[in-house]
Amino acid sequence: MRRLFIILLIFGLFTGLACSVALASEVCYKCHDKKNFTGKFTHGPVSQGKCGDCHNPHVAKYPGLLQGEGAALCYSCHKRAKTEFAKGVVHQPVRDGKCLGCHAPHAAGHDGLLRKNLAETCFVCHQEMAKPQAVSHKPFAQGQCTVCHQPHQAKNDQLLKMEADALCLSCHQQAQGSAGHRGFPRKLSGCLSCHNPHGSSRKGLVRQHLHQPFAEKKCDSCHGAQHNTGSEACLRCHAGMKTTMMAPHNHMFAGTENGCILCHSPHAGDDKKMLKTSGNKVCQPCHQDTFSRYAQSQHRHPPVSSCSDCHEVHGSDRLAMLRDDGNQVCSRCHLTQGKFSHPVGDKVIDQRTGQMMTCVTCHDPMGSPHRYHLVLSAKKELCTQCHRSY
Amino acid sequence: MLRKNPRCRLGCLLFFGMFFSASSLVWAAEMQSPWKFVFSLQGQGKGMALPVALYVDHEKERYYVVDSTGNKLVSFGADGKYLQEFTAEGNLKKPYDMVRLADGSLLVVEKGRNSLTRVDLKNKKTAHTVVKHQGQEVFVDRLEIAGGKVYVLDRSSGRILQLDETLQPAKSYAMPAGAGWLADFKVAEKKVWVLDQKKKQVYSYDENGRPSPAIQLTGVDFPVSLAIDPTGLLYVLDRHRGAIVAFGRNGEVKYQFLTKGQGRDNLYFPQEIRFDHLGRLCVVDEGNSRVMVFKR
Repeated sequence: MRRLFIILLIFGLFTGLACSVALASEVCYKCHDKKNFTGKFTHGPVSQGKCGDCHNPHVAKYPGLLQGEGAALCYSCHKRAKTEFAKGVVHQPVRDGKCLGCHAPHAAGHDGLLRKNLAETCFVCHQEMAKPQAVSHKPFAQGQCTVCHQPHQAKNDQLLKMEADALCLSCHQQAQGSAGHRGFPRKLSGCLSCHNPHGSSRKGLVRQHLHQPFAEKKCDSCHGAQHNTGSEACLRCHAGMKTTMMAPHNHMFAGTENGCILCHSPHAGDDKKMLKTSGNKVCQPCHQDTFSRYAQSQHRHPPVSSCSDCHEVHGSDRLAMLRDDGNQVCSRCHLTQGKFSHPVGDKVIDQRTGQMMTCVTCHDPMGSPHRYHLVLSAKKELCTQCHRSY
Repeated sequence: MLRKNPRCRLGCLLFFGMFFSASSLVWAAEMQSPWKFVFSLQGQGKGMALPVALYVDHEKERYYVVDSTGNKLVSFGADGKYLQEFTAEGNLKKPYDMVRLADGSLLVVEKGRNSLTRVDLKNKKTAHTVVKHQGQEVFVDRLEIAGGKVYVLDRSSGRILQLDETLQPAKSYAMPAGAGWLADFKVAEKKVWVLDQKKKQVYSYDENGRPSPAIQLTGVDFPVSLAIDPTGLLYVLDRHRGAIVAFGRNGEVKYQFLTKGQGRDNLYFPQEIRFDHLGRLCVVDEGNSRVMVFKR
């Protein structure tokens, strides 16, 4: 008798639970069209009718009646992801907690609940990649971005699955002895120094702009025991750069290798400057702390195309290697500032330092917890730093 | 017994509370900085534009601050009082560091000329020297003098060079393979201590050039300068965080002090740290146009 009672109880509970789940989703679908929540791939809780896992049906703090905000809600189930996605180089949307930038929360036509197919999802942000190229790398042409990159985080720059050379050679084992590399004095390395891994107008994915000695096959004009090492090897020809670097703050790097090739490719590049990567990415490996602060700050200057818009990247007499003083560098874009706002310029002296007031006296474009990326809160301590009687 | 006896329960709670409080106090004492602000070195009139280096003349007990943008050297007495400015009659071009030689002349790094410039104060003469090492031009950066010997950091080759009397390299300290780039060095305890900014490591070499194991730094974003404390600590200046971090000789963080900003307990793009003749820690606070001096 007792056993029968237990069996009935379990059965009752199970049935009740099933009914309640069915009820939850069915109640929701009375208003919300079920079609919008079904697809080739459906999020687990949706397929199980557990709308309440993410949404509160009555009232919530967050838009969409969500139980939590952004990635925090996702990580409440995807717990391991939270730990994993904090390691190494982290993809910006992941760092910003914008899971929904790539993933649909209910259902999608693509694996991993991607909103579009893999390449299209990537191209939403990486628009420049979508431009057709005369010669394309096969995995790239097939939209298989994840052959080389990890979508969330990786140990390597550019979210590469492996260190760049090892990654290239994992498929291109034959490259060592190929015609194009004949005479290469050691094990192939620095593949990305000459090749664009996505596409190029040149055969063999060789980058668009060639360094003149490389184009003329005059390798010995830079290489060889008789030549200088370090940055001097470059500055023999690029004398103008040498002058620019003769500044208190400069990027003449003292390292065991030539500092110029930290940023520039010595053989071929995608633009005339022959930078190793485009835009700000070239600065990121060394200035990761600044990039992280920028990414994590609540208030920050809108993104710019290149760090060099504001910073003189070779050498500068100014603080933070700015191109100009803290007013001029800002007023090139913020044309009306300095005319009607707080007085700035060489006639307005910051009492604390004896130096002129500039935009960066109060603003930190690289990020701050305060509105207008102010260095301190405008409600109190920012102004009272100088206006003590207020 | 705990459940039954409320007195016993209270006693246990009290004991644990006291234990944790005491532990917290010990921990706080260990982590607290012993440094207290003494005074700032600031120029007269418009002050200093962007000070980038400090030289402490132990013999004369004077401070010399190198103001790169102001193209001048500013001297201060032991009490921090402004003494005078020196511009070599307007001929200094982006000075970056300096030392005083045994004969009383000054040796100045001029970035604008890439020169080690000897300034003979008595005869009012300057002599510019471009240092060369193995046929290559040396990009002189930081400059130190110890035991009568002059050392420079070469930003081009990534080496520390010991110079002879003619200001040409007599000895070279090569960094380990795969080193990043060098931000600063100091000569102390008969060793050359070198700060690798990229790798966030400190290398040290004895007088014969033999290296000791590298010290790995943690908890710093953008290290720009180091100072060696005879008491056994190693101080590293973090330019981006406006902080000074004290490390043990094995790289363990002991404590840190100061934060980024423009107030009294702040640093704004600081550039160098070093000890003065009284064992006080001096910080060249470039962005705030001052040198702050702290005592224990």
